[in-house]
Amino acid sequence: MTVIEQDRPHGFAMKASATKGSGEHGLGWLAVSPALLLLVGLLFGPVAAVVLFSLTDWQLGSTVFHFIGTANFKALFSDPTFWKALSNTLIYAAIVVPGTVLLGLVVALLIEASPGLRGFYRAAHFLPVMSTMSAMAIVWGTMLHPTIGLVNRALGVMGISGVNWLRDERTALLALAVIGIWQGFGFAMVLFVSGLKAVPQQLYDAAAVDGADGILDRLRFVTLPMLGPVTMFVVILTAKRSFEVFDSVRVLTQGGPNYASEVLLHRLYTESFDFLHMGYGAALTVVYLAIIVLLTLTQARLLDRRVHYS
Amino acid sequence: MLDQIAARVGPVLAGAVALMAIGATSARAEVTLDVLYSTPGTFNALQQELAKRFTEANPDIKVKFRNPVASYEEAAQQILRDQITGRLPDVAFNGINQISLFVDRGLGAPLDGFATADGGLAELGYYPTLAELGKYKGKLYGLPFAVSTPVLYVNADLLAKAGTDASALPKTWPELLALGKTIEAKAGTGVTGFYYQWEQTGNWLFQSLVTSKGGRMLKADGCSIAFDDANGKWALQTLEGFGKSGMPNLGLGQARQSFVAGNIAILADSTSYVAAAERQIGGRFQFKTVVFPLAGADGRLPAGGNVAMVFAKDAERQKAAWKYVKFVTGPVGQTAMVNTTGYMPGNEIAVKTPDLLGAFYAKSPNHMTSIQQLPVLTEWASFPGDNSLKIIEVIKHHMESLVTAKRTADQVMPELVGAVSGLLPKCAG
Amino acid sequence: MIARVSDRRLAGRLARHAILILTAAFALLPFLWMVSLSLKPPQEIFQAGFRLWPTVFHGGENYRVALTAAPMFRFLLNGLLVCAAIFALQLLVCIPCAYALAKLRFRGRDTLFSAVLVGLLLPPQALAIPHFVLLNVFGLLDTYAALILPWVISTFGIFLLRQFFRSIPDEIIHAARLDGLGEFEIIWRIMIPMTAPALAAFGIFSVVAHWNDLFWPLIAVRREEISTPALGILLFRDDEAGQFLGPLMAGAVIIVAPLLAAFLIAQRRFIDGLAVTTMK
Repeated sequence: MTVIEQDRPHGFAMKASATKGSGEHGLGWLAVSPALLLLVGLLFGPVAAVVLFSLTDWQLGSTVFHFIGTANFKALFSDPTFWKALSNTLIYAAIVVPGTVLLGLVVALLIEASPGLRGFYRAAHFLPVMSTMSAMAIVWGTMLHPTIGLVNRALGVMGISGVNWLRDERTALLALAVIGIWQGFGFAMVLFVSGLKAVPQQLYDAAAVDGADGILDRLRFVTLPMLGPVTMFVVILTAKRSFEVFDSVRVLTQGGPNYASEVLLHRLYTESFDFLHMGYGAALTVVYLAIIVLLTLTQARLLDRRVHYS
Repeated sequence: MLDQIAARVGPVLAGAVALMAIGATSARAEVTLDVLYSTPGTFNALQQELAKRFTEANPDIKVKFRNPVASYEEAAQQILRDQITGRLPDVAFNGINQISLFVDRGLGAPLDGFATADGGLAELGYYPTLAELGKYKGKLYGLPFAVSTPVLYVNADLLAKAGTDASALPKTWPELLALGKTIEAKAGTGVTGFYYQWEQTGNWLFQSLVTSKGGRMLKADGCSIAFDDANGKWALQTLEGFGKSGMPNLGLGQARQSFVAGNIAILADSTSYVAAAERQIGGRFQFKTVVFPLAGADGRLPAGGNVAMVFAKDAERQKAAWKYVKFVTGPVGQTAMVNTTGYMPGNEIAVKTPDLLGAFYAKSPNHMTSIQQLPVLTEWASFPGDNSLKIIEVIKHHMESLVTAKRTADQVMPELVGAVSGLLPKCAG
Repeated sequence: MIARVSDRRLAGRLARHAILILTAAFALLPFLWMVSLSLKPPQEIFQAGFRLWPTVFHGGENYRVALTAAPMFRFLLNGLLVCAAIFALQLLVCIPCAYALAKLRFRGRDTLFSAVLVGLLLPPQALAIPHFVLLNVFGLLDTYAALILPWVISTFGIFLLRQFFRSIPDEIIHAARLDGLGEFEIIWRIMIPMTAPALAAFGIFSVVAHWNDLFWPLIAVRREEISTPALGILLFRDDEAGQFLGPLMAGAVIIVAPLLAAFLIAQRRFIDGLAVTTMK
């Protein structure tokens, strides 16, 4: 590659100072400097800060602090509420991820199967994704009211007696998971639809020549394998978002009843910003970060392997 | 395309920068009071209205609200956080039980000086008992804004199904439970005969049971437990009775929604909801309120509701805050308050003046029930120390285990006493 | 033969519609219910029965109460301001960086890009405590700045734009340089127009995410007058609610409507944008 002598750039709006002269080098650094600054200041710096907080006894507002090593983590790991929050978050993800992915896939397949009303179906299924969860959670709360809510009334008509979904320890998390699926499956659907559109017709034709021309055959031999990468992406994304669940919990159950629906992020919020236990909150943040990063990387590796070697 | 982008980015960027600058500084000629209140569902419209009327009467003082929070506990948490970040509100409407919580941490301005300068509390029309509730360690810190007592909400139509009516309501809890069961049998599915709002903020309806038997939560020294006696035991057993009778576990809001839908026959709750209940019921069924059963000769009821406290530290702001607080707890403010909620006014002038509230109570018997209980008011206790909010949580947790029939009173009492004692500070002695 | 095939096709199509109507109903039900309740008087809200349209139209009153009890339009305006400011600043920061990562060569470029990738993994909520502390130190809590500043850096934006910029052939850039265009002009006149769909998609992501965000505004903001939509709706909800179901639903409609309306109008753009960005 030839190195091209640069004219003086016509001035980056951001930097008034003189450029470093010719060379992509100086230019490159100039261009990334604001982003770099912010990456350090708003992203990596804060991560380091959180790790630091978690190792000290610093309280918000105080000017002194001491290193107390892993004391905050010990407190965290010996707190049953933390473990409850962790297990609840895992259960929540275990319900929401398959639910969202499967439902999204089925709907995408059906939508793409014939041309009728595609636009309407796509829009209808995607609306929940766009909606403000805190407001819609309130609506769900009304629908889930034990006696006058829509859900139990409908069940009553069918002769099933409904429970108090959001206040019964057995069903609170499940109810939240259904709401989570409701919000996410449209997004999965859209991703699958674009994945489906990218499958070349020749593959189906070739498969038909080989005798695989029924619906199930096409699915098994062409569609699903070709959707591998998209599926992987959808699973990873949905899992990440499941771990970030907060709005519905805050609005509907506040982690109750009796921590039956307490999740990691809500716990983090309560401890850090309601009770001002900054050290504990920081320790919880570190653990939360570790879990998400590990989870995403592991999934990426596992699924990547499956997708490319299956 | 480029022009569009430039045209969009430019002004938005300039606007954003300008707004950030405005947000970061606050130079104003007049005073703008920063006010925090809770339970927005009840108070939103009222507070907005009062703020408007106050500024009309005092044009140099504006009132801006913080986002109201769901409960008194949440408000307390926020204010404690604000103390640290240096952004206290000027005025806050806190639970009557929280005055000590704040004053012990150096928050809250004493209002005696202002009150005397304006002629004294009696002149200003405050009920003596209620004004007392705003005092702590001899000084006045809060003016009563909305006061409540627990009452029984009754669906007279459902009662009629069991052949009785509101005036003949039994006066003990086991009898009320039995009546509830009878009504459920007669009225069919979907109806709850009896519900007790045990989840009310600050363990208020647990305290109500204890005090209705003549007991107390804390000893006179204010720092050791008093509910570990027979009265407290009785209260726990009553809750256990509720659980054993199969009372469902409804939330505060859910139970009220159920009641106005006509699905609960007897509801033990705060009088605060009465006005809204009447509006929501709209005459679909006969709604009456009945006094809360007292279980002992010297039974009393804890006063609920909130007081207006001043947190501003600057002298000018305190003056403005006092004017505002005086207005909303004064005759005009209290009239509006009573008209929109079920709370009792703290101001006698409002009640005695015919065109303020004078005629109101004659027309609204449901509101009178609480007023009838004024003579038996006592304090709504809160626990001292750093863990006062946590203690409320702990007590609520134990109440839940009783009303869901998971544990018995015998099991709960020692656990509860142990847990609360552990969270209390050592007594100053 | 043909009759059998078309029967099967017809049955298939009907089955498809039947299932899709069911799933679409699942998706739409909360919206329909929300609107329905917002139009009903209290007695109908609590009545048994499944009518969607009220017998007595009470919508005027419900919306009036909703609008007077809280500054709803203020919340919407704040949402607009904050989201626009965030996106504008994001573009300002991300575009030069993405361009440099895609088209310029400088030492440390690949390290920086790896850092960006790592940044993609980080859930933003994990940074809440340090952001809160930082803003507190600068006295910026409870201001528009608090709502905007933490989001100005977007690793997603940098990543996305870099991918798109890379797909533009180098020859075009070289030709432009030969024509005497400076780097800034190259970005302005060539890169941006050619990746407009990606920019639009990024914009949609950004606006939707921040319009609907509850977690950070809950932490950063106290004053009503700068509250954003997701936070504003909570004004109606309290532990003791049960009294204003109609106005509460009306408030929810007001909060949710703008984004949904924008979506319905520009559907194609939204959905295609989404597909385009994730495929890269």
